[in-house]
Amino acid sequence: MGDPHEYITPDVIADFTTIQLEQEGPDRVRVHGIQGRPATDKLKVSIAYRAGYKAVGTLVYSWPDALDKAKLADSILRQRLSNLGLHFDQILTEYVGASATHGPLATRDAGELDYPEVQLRFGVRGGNRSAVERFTREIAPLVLNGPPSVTGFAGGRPKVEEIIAYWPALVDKNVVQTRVEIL
Amino acid sequence: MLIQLLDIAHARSGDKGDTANVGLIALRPEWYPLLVKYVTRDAVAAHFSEVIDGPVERFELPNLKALNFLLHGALDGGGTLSLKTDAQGKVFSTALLRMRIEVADKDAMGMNLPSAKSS
Repeated sequence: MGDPHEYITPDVIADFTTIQLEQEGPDRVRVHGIQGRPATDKLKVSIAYRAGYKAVGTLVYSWPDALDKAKLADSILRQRLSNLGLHFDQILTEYVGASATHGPLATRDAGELDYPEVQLRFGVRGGNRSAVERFTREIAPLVLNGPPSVTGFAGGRPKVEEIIAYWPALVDKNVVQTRVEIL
Repeated sequence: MLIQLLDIAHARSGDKGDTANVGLIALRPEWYPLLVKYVTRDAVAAHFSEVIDGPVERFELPNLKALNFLLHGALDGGGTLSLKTDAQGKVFSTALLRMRIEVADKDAMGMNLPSAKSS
């Protein structure tokens, strides 16, 4: 929503701080009193562009010490990528079941919990397709040569995806001419 | 008295580019002033300091007994660029509900506040 005083829609700028809610009966709410201002002189343009490649690989580690095993596998994987001289714009490791959604906030609250299982989720992103492709071949070796009690690799190598990124932009309404054709 | 936001508020969140937008709504209208006083922009920035790269903005919606937060630099680029499980910022809501606030006795009086479970 952004600034609730200025919710910009194609038709108006709505001020959400003026919304009035009233319980009118069971399962019935009256929404009224909403004020706003005229629309801006801009149109929103949604631009898509090619922005490189990404791949995400996962492995599941079981109790005991599931999180420690997943962390060790992560450090081995990072060392392998570095030894291979592969460079990426971003490498991200998440531990699903422990901290993928809330990050350090989750593990801080959970303390020294011995998780029943943890999924290592390892992603890379970069402009070089062959580097991302090479990364996808580094997951399987961890199954045989990494920390034990690992599973969840039956899906095979991670697949490389091309990233189509989104660039929202504004243009003046007066540079766009609208025309309707009925077919 | 120590309160966890989970016990006094509801939250919903989503993405706008690389920004997570988190709405925080008081579970009872009389608890809204506590959110305004204690869940400040700085307190939320400190809570998320390890998780986001950018600044925090806060907006008040007294008519809805709600606060709206913008957490900038929260989604590793956001959208299709992000490698995160939560690329759409849908669970920054519950991450905010983890936050604990220390409410002064005079503010807690007569409010029937549930105290934070120790963990």
